[in-house]
Amino acid sequence: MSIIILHLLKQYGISYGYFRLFEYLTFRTMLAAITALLFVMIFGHPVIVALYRRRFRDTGGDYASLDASSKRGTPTGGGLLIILAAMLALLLWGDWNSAYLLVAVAAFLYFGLVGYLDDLQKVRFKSSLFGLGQMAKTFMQLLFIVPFALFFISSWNPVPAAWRTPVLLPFFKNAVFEPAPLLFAAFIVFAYFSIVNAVNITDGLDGLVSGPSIMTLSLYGIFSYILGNTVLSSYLLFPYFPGCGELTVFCGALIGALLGFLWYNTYPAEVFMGDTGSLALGGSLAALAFLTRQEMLFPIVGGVFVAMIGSSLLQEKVGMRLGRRIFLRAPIHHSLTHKGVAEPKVVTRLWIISILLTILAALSLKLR
Amino acid sequence: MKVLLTGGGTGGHVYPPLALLEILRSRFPIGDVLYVGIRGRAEERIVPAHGLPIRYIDSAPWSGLQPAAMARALFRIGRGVLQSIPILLKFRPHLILAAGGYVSAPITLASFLLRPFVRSRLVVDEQNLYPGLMNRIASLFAHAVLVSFPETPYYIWNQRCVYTGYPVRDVFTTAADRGAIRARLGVPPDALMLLAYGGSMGSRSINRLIAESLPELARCGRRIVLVHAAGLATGDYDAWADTRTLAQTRGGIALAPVPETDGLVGYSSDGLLEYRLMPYLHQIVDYLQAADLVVGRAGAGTLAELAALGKPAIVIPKRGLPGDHQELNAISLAERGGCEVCFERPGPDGVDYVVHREFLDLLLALLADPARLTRLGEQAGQFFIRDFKEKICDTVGRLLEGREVDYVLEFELPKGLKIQKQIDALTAFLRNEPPGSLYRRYYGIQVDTDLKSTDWQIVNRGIKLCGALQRTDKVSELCGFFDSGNGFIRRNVLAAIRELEVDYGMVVNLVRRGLDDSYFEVRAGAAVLAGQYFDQLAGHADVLQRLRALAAKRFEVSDVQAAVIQVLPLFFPLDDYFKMVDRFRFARNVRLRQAILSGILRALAAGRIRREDMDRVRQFVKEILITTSSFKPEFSIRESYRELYDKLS
Repeated sequence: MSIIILHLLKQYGISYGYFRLFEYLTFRTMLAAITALLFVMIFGHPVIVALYRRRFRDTGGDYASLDASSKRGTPTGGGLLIILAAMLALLLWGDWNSAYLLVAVAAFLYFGLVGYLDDLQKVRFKSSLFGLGQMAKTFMQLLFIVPFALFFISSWNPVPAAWRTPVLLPFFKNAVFEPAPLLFAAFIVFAYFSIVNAVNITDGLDGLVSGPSIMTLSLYGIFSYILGNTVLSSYLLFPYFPGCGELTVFCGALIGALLGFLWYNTYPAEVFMGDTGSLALGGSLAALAFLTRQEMLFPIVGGVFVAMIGSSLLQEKVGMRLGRRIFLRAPIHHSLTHKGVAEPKVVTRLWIISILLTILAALSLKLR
Repeated sequence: MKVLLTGGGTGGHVYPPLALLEILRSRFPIGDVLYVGIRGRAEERIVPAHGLPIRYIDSAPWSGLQPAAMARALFRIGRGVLQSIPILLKFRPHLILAAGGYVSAPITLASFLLRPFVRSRLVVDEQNLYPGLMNRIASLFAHAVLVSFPETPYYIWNQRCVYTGYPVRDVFTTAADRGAIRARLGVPPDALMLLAYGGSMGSRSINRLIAESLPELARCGRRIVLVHAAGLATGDYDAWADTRTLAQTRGGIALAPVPETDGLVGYSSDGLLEYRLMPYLHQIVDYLQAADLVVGRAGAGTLAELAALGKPAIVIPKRGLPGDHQELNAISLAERGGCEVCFERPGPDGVDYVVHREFLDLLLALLADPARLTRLGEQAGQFFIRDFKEKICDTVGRLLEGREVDYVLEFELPKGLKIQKQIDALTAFLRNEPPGSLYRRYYGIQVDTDLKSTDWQIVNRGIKLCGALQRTDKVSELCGFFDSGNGFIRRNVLAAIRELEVDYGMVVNLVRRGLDDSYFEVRAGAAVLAGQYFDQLAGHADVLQRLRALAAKRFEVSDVQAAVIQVLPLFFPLDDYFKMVDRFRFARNVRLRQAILSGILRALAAGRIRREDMDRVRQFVKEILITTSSFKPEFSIRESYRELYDKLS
């Protein structure tokens, strides 16, 4: 909105002096983060109460049947807060002319909707739809991912034509090789789906998903800033993606919303984000990774997510075949709590690991 | 008003919509009626007999199919939907009554698709406690679901259930002179009348059970009239002929035909027992009115009729029906004290049977205790909803006028059934049940079938149930699974053995092999088992050797280490023990340190640490690193809430 106002002012020849600050990406990013953060902090409690009263509660239990050290019955679906806050911030401070922003927001909202339906189903139908729950969820996710992959190899993609399909590896300056577009689209479907579900599965302990997400978002924010900036991109020998800088604002808004959510979600949680939040986050992280063409960096910067989904898949698919556990518990964070590490400690430690990984990934900015 | 009825496959899905129609006729001006069914099923015979027009569509059963057959079924259901659309468009019903069975799927789906064009209200009728798959799907589109069990709303996929009760026929609700009926049937006033029936087709397990019980009933010293409706001959089972022979051979009662009827009658040698065997009871309600105790099936209809008349009953649910719904119906009524249940179990010849002794004990106990019979009858009567007609008419009326309906929003959670989903919750529940309780008996039968399965996950379930149900008779089978099963199975066998009282010779063997196992959870389980039998095992040098080796192993999974550390002080003298455990006193893993403490606590409780050694142990323990990471939170508001809640309820 701010951008539209500035455009209008410029059109009518009105000089806006200090307000040209609003043209600067970094300034808008900060404002977006602050807006989202304050929104969640202020409106968090009423939303939590509303969710609770609408029976958006974890495992549907009511407090009476539960013991005093259990968290079940906590309101869930708090991802709604994240979505509301981020969208408000983006409406105020985003430049909606950027195709990058539109795609990222589409992914964010669509996956939020899928997650919301899933949460709703858990609450409303008291059971997931006759075991098709997983299948229905997969189907709804693919309903976005497949068109996204096709869009990505098409000419509508805002990424410059030369950079749409070549495989870019971190720490390598030039493209390693260029696969056939459809092959690359298939890879997108696979990777997108994995990222979304990795983030979803990580959301198992209070505040666990927020830390690594914030780290990943910051790194992708930096990348999109550099890619969208002529000077920086040529200095760091990156390709120049005009308009990509708007993704920085998107990252800023999400970081702000997540920090605000953490305000309530940190141990012991007053609200869980539910699939609404974790799918929306996963969907937008995956979209960011592809739009900045840094998807190969995700296994490093999102190493925590990858470890979670990897361990969980091994335990379920391979373990069931073998007829034994492979890890003590899966995903790994449950393995850690099983070993006697307290929940808040596990969360903080995984954050630290995530910071380490992010620093490692950030090295790829210069070390190429 | 135009009404469309659907549902079918078996009589159980055809009669209810017809009954509903009769009830609605009394209140609403009903014009055209159309029945939609499948050719070649029960509705083709029944519906025209009631003088209703019927149309046929295509559909197919769904549950328990292979993927290929599922695709074919989906295709046929899709074709049914396409066939239903013109029917609905032409007939334009105001009200659709769907009573489940796969027949109703296409119509409900089509009515949902046509909602913008045909304004009809969809009412789904579910009589059983556990709704069939098609009814659960249909409930997604339904404006109201009529249920006759208070637990059913839990399983329905919407929140638009109305608890109306079962629409029984009028004869069951009109008052009758019981004495007169008994006199008409020729039952002496001082005799106990027993009625056994298994539906029109007959039930093999009830027929066998009754025939085999005849000698004992003749000996029990009471004057008894036993009316037994064996059922008509059908395809593979000639109920009538089979029962007649069984009653004469095993029952030892000579049967003579009764003039002018198709029944037979016989007497015991002292004449106290009068046994009337008939193929079919045309006036079942009279017999039910006259009876003092009923033995029957647990279909929703039978149970509702018993409850309407307030009759005490022993019900024998039919095994192996979709979702085990007869068992669940019976459990629900029995939990309210409205009937007694005998469960069927799978027989060796593929025929389900009830253990004769179990049934007979229950029957004789009931016959000897008239107060219990009265109580059963009264409690069953409370289960019946007397004003079901008003409720049904009211619901339909409100729907048609577009007014608010009283949906059930707060419903009863099915106690034992909800937990079926999670085996660990189920076993925990069963452990707290008293021996001989309904659920223990029900799952006791499941154990047998589970253990015979070829799917290891089902066998696994059976093994867990063995432990929870204290099935000591299954120990040798369990040991067999320990030899052949995968890691999970081996682990769970050990866990089950821990709960059972087992001969220790068997335990030694299991512990030895368990401690050597390649799977860590089995090693840990074996260590725990060893601790349980430490008295007898302490003399086995090889077991000690294995424990020592595990404790000394440099790289071992922490779960195993913790389990071993906990049992070490039970087996080894203090000096040895200190040496083995010393390195764990400062372990990074807090659970290992905790294991030392709980191990010593256990040894103290078992009296393995002498008074004069206390000081040394104290010195040893003093040094343990007790910084911690794990803790148990206590949310004070929840605690207060719970305390208050408990006080208020």
